[in-house]
This record gives sequence, structure tokens and C-alpha cells, in this order.
Amino acid sequence: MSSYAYTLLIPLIPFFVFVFVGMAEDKLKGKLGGLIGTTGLGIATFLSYYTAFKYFISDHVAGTGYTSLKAFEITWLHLTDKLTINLGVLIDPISVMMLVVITTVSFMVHIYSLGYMEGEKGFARFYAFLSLFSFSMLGLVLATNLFQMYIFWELVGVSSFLLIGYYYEKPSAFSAAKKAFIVTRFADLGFLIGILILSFNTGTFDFKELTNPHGVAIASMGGAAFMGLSVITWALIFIFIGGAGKSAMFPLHIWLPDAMEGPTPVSALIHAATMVVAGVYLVARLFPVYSQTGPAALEVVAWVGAFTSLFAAVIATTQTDIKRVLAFSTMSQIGYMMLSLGVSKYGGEDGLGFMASNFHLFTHAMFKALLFLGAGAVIHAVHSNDMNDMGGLRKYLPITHITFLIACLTIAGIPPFSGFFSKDEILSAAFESNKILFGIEYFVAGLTAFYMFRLYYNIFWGHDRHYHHTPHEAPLVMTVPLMILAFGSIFSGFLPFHNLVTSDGLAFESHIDWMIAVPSILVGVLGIAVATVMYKKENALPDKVAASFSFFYRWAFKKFYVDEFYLFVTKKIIFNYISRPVAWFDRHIVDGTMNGIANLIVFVSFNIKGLQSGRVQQYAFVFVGGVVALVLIFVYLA
Amino acid sequence: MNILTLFVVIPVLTVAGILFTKDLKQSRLVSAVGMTVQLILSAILVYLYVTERQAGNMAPMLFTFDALWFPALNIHYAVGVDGISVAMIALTGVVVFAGIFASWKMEFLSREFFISLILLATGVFGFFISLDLFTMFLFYEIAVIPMYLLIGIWGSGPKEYSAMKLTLMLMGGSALLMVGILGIYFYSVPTGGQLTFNVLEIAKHKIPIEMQRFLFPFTFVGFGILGALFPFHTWSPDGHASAPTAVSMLHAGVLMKLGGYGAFRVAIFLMPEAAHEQAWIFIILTSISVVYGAFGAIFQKDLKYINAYSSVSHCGLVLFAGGDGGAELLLGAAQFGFHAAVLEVLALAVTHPAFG
Repeated sequence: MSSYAYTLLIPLIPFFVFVFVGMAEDKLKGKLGGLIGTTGLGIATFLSYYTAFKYFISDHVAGTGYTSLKAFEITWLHLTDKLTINLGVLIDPISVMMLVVITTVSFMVHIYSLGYMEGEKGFARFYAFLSLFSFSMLGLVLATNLFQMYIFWELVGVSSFLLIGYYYEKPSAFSAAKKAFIVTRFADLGFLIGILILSFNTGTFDFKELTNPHGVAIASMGGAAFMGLSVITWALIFIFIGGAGKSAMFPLHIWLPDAMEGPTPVSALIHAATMVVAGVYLVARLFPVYSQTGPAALEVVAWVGAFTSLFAAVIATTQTDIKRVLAFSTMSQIGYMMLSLGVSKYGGEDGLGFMASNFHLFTHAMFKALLFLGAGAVIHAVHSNDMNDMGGLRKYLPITHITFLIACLTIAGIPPFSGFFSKDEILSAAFESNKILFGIEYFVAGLTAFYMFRLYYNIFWGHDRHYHHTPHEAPLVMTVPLMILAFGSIFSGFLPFHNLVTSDGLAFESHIDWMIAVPSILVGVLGIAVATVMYKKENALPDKVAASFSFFYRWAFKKFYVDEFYLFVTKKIIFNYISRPVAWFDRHIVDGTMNGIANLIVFVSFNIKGLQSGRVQQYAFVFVGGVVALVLIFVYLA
Repeated sequence: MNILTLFVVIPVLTVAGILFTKDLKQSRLVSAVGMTVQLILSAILVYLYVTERQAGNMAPMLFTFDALWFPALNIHYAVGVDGISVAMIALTGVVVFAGIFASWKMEFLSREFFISLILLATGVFGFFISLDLFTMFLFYEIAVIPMYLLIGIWGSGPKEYSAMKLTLMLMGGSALLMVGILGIYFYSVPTGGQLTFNVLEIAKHKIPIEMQRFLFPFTFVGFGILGALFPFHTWSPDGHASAPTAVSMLHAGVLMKLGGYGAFRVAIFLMPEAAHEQAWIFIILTSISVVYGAFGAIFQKDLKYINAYSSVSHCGLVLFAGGDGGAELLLGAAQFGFHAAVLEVLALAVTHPAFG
């Protein structure tokens, strides 16, 4: 038990709020449920900031590295003397960073929803689920071992399901929730297999033992090989499949755009800032294992990340639903983080990619939550998700406009906003490792600037549309979180991440490499310039461009038909060609045999039951006949 | 009185109590009280069991009690529990308790309904505590008969068909089982001496391997039918779909577990060599159950059929572990039992307007 034991409260407070608000849902009138939830999360946020201060500053001895420590641990299941499943709280740089990210965004979303969800049916239920999600996500990042992480991983999936399906009376929301759950659950199967292989080979679930670079776990790895890769590498690839499912990496990304059916604050919290980065966190958590024993697995991570970032960015340029544009943008940015982890090595300056990934995770959480909440304010004003229904809103929504612009500049990588710094670190890390990946990311940086400003101009510039009523700025309870997050987006780039969150806990020197930064700024500016020409004033240019790429444009607009492919496999092949025959076989052949046996018995007994007629004459007749027959047989045989 | 005997006595007393009730309100109250006591008793049993084990008592069975009740065939009322049975008893306690509340508004012939339901529970509890094969078999039959009435009278859809099908197929299983159990009895003490039905006694002596080869399929398939072993599972989807919700809960959550438990306690425990030799056949059959049940479930449109096929699939998994070795088996069974019961309640929440 250490002086950090109080950190146990950080996940537990939202849990108790969930239980209380969930149980008393019907009795909490008006906004009471929301206020309870917000207060609870406020306390958790305060504790998280205090923990960050204590861990990074006041308890830190200058010149030493940051170590990981267990604030709390109990044995939950005692399987054998060597293998136990524990529950606990792990404090180390990345978990403390995640605490800050999750509680900040969650707290902002809690406040924002007081305005956004006002008057919705099931207001208290919304807050109960939001608290459940916060509890699960905090439990996930604080997990001391793989198994605990897996438990909370599933809990996060459930709460995401519940929140996407919040408007469960709407068929599209319901099927989106189902889709998200099924796809991520399918990916989690990979995670589970990976956990089993890894723990079977190392004999432990514990992160501290697993990731200790000089510990037994890493030393005992290697060993048996399968298809040219070691078993541990396979385990890590399987674990990454789980991470890829939650983080919406290609080809397991199909649930994320649909998940936008959930309320917008939920999209900001779960599908932009926290849950979708769980996959990044998972790889970062096991990073020493990845880099020491499975470089091939890291390569997979890097290429999947790079491909997804490109793929999603291309789709984002064609979508018209503003939340879907943001969803694809999220995928693209998470691709950046994965790539960055994938190109990183362990320790010192070689661990630049690791640091950059976490740095980008942090800044991305701020600006993407801001973008989503800003989009929410826009949707709140015009009652539509489609950018064709928007235009000229800068006059009506000044605060939303300014904060949205800040977020767009941040994601486009314009200095001095935070996105510039974190993206620059990622590009440097990629440059040192693989020039092709670096090239892809450069291109994606330009695309990002383009599609974000396409979005921005379409919403805030151009002509007014026919609005049902004059759009009005959101209430203060919604705009204050926007301002706070805008503040975070601007200034979080100045945090000294290279001193705080590094692969081995030791600080290293990092500076901006202008050889890389200047071209990246230029690419960003170019993207913005193109978007300005095409979208600032309505003109025929976008349609012409779309027409000249018509084939490719249609593909991208249809998200490259990945959904259709999955539907084809599941509906056509599995459902029609496997399940239907199996069900038919079961009903008609297997059950038919059983019924056939029964019918045969009925048939036989029906036909012989006439013999039991009850007429004595008939019995006597058969009796005599039988005797005669027997006598004859005996006579002849004798 | 031995604590385990209470597990049979309390349901019987509850049934007796329900006989004196007049309407739904009274009979459900009596049932709820009885099953609450039973649930508390299960919790106490778990507690006692854990304390006893931690105190270092490593006897194979705890809380044993033995009384001869039919000397001519040396049939005993012998009870005792190990960790597996304790887990199953706790599971049954929870599921039956929840089942009472799931049938809170059973207006039609409510007294008879609760009597049958609790009689079914009596059989299940008795089955899990028994150490004597004959007594175990007796309790097994006690559990199956009320099932017929519960589905046939309070069911829905083609209930007579389903009830008859379920009963006939389970009785077919019982017939195989009867052969198996009598065979075990006659070869229980190959060296000569008093024959016995007691599981622990039989395990001490070895049944000759030639007889094991013959008897193992009888017992394993006999219990396997109850555990929805492919291709003898078709009673299960129809039975599930037609049964009232509380019965589906007991059915999927507990009754099908009798199959897995029996396969482990009798077939595998008493005839390990034959189990090892013939494992491959049953591994193939149970693997088919797992995959086949899952694919069957995908195609169903009726929620209860989906549940039923998923039960086939999961019970297949339980029996699969049995074919493979054993210890995981009952852990799986306990988990699944809970799982299935929860699913049944969910199905109820959707299908039963009075509930939602």
C-alpha cells in the first residue's frame, strides 16, 4: 500500500455514481442525475490532476527516471501458486497521462451534456451510462495486469454499446450499436487468444513483470516458432488485433462511422478521445515486449497504422455528414499514433516514436473532443448532421466558430497550436525509421488540412441555408467546455512530454527539427489553401474535381465498399450458405430422423393394434390356428 | 441433520406448504420464502465448504452422510460434496430463486405450477448431493418428470409436441443410463464381495477395462442426451421454445448441467481408462455440437430458439472439456449456467409485456 492508494477512488467514484443514478433513475427529476454525475466526475478529475502533480512533480527526484508502482493490488482468483489473477491500480507515466486525458474530456462532456441533452428522454440514464463508461475506461488504464485490462476492455465495449444505442427507438442507432459491439467483440477474440498465448509462455499476466526489460518474462520469450515468427510475436499480433478493433484500424474500422448515431457528446468522449485510443494504449502498455521480442509485430502495427491513416483521410474528403468526417479523421489520427509506436524503438532517443505517440494521443484528445463538441453545438443549432444544410453559421455561432477554427488549425499542424508539435515528433520518428511511411504521413498531413477546412468552410462560410429558426449560439454550459478545450488545444503542445512520458521512464532531449517541420507546415498551409479556393465561396470547382475523379470519388464516397464486403461475407456466405443449410439439416435430417423413429413406432403399433380386438372368438380362433400350425411343424420336422 | 439433506428437505417442505395455499399470491409467497431459504443455505454451504478446505480438510467429499435404505441391493442414501457440486448447488440456488420471480404472475393453475417447479428443483439439488448412483438416478428422474408437466401445461406454441419429445428423448437417455449404472453396479467390486452403488467405493476398485469400454458409451451418451449432445439435441430447442420462461431458465441454466455433471461424475470419474480411449469420438461429437449449435443459432428468428441453439453450442463446450479431461468442465458449466439463465431472463423481458 503506497501513498497512492487513494487513486483507487478515481475509478470507484464514477462506479458508485453509476450504481446510484442507475438505480434511482426514475426518481431523479430534471437535471439532478446529471448534476450528481458531473459532481462525481469533477472529484475524480481533481484527484487525477493531483495524482499527475504528485507523480510527475512533487514526488519526483530530479535526475531519475519515472518508475511504475502499484498503488493497490488484491488477488482476485488464485489459480495456482504461480498464476493468479489480480485486480489493482498501476501508476506509471502513461497511466497517469491517460487519467488526465480521460477525466478532463469526460468532465467536459459531462458539463456539456447538461445543456446538449436537456429535455431528452432518459437524461439520468444517459449520465448513468456515462459514469459506467468513465469507470470502465479508468479501470482499463489503471489495470495492473492483462487480465484485468481485458475485463475492463469488455466493460468499455458494453458501455459504448449502451451509449451508441442511447436512442434505441431509432433503428439506425440500434443497429449501429449492434455493429460496434459485434465488430469489436470479434476483434477481442484475437486479444483473448493473444493473452492466453502470452501468459502461457511467460507464466504471468502482470504488466510489471511482463514489461521489465531485464525481467524473466522477456528473457524467457523467443522459443518455439510458427510460420517463421516466434510464438510471442504471434501473441503480440493477436493482441494487436484486439487493439485494432477498439481503435478502428483497417479492416476492423467499419463500426466507428456508424457509431456516430450516438449522441454527439458520446462521440466526443468515447469515439474520439478515450475508448478508441485504447488500442494505442494497449500497444504502449506492452511496448517493451513488442520492441524487445516482436519487431515483426511492431512492423505490422506501423503499416496498419499508416495505411489506415491514408485510407481514412481519403474517405474523409468525400463525406458530407459532419460527424462522419470527424470519425474518419479520428481513424486517420489514431493511425498516426499506431504508426508512431510501430516505428519506435525502446529506450532513450530511439524511443522518440513512443513519446510522440503518447504526445499526439494527448493533444488529439483535446482538439478532437473540441471538434466533436463544436459539431454538437452546430447540430444543436441547425438540427442536422449534413453539411449541405449548413452555411454562413459564423455570424450566429461566434464562440463555436472561433473554437472550431482553433481546433482545425491545431489538427492541420499549424504552429504554435499543439497539433503541430506532436505531429512533428511523429514525422521525425517516421523519418528516422522508414522513408515510405514518412512520405505517406506527409501526404496525409496535407489531406488532413484539406478535409478539415473543407468542413470548416462548409459549416461557417458560404450562404445561409433555409433554417427552421434562426440558429442561435449554444448556452454557456456548452460553450465553456469548448473554451476550456480550446485552451488545452492551444497550449498542451508546450508540455515537456520528452521529459515525462518516455519508453524507459528516463528523460531525453528533443527539439524541433526544422528540416521536417517547415515542409510539414507548408503542406498544411497548402491543404488549407486548396480548401479555401474550393469551399470558401460556393462555386462549381468541387463538383468539377469530383467529376474528373468520378470513379475514384465514388469509391471513396462509398468508403471503398468495405461494409458491403463484410455484409457479403456474413449475410450471403455465412448466413445463406452455412447457417441456412445447418438449420435445415437440423430441422429435417437430424430431427427428422428422431421424428421418423417415433412415427415408425406409431405406424407399427397402429397396424398391429387390431390384433387386440377383445373378441374372445377371434382369440380362440388364432389360438387354435397357432396350435395346429405348431403341431404340423413339429410333426414334419420330427 | 446433515446440511446437505436440508437441500432436499426444504424444497419438499415448500411443496407441502404450497399444497395448503389457495391462490397465486399465497403460493408464490410460500415458494419465494422457501427458495430464499434455499439460496441462503447455498451461500452458507459455500462458506462452510471454503472454511473447511482452508482448514486443511482434504477429504474427497465433505459433509458426508450415509444411510442404507434398500438392503437387498445395497442402495444407500449417501451424500457428500466437493468443490464442483458446491458450485453447481450455488448455481441452482440462484437460478431457482430467480425463476420464482420470473413466474411471479403465473395466473393459470398457479399452485400446481409452483409445486412442479419446486419438485424439479428438488430433483436437481438431490442429484448434485448424491454419491450413490441409484439415488442419483432417482433424483434425476424426479427432475425430468415435472419438466413434462411444466412444458405441456404452461408452455406455449406446440407445447404438447415439445413436452412429449423432450420426455421421450430424455427417457431414452435414462434407458441407456440404467444399463450403464446397472453394469457399473455388477462390476463395481471385481474382486468379489458386497456390490455397491457408492461412487467413491467404485472409484477405489477398478472396473475391468473390457466392461468400461462397453459401459462408458452408455453412461456418457445417457448423460450426454441431457447435455444436448449432437445428434441427440433436438429436444432442446423445441423444449426451450415452448417452455414458460422460468422453466427455460431452469432447463438451460441447471437441467442441462446435470448432463455435464453426470458425465463427469459417473462416466469419466469411474471409467477413466475407457474415457481416455474413446475420448476422440466424443471430442468429435461435442465439437460438432459447439460449431453446429452456433451456426444453427445464427439462422433462428425466434429469440428462444436462438437461446436454445446457443445452449446446444455451450453445453457442447462443457462436454467437450469433459471429453478432454475434466476439471475445466464444471467451471465452464457453472459459468454457462449463469449465462444461460441471464439470457433467459432477457428473453423474458422482451417477450413478456407484463415484465417490461
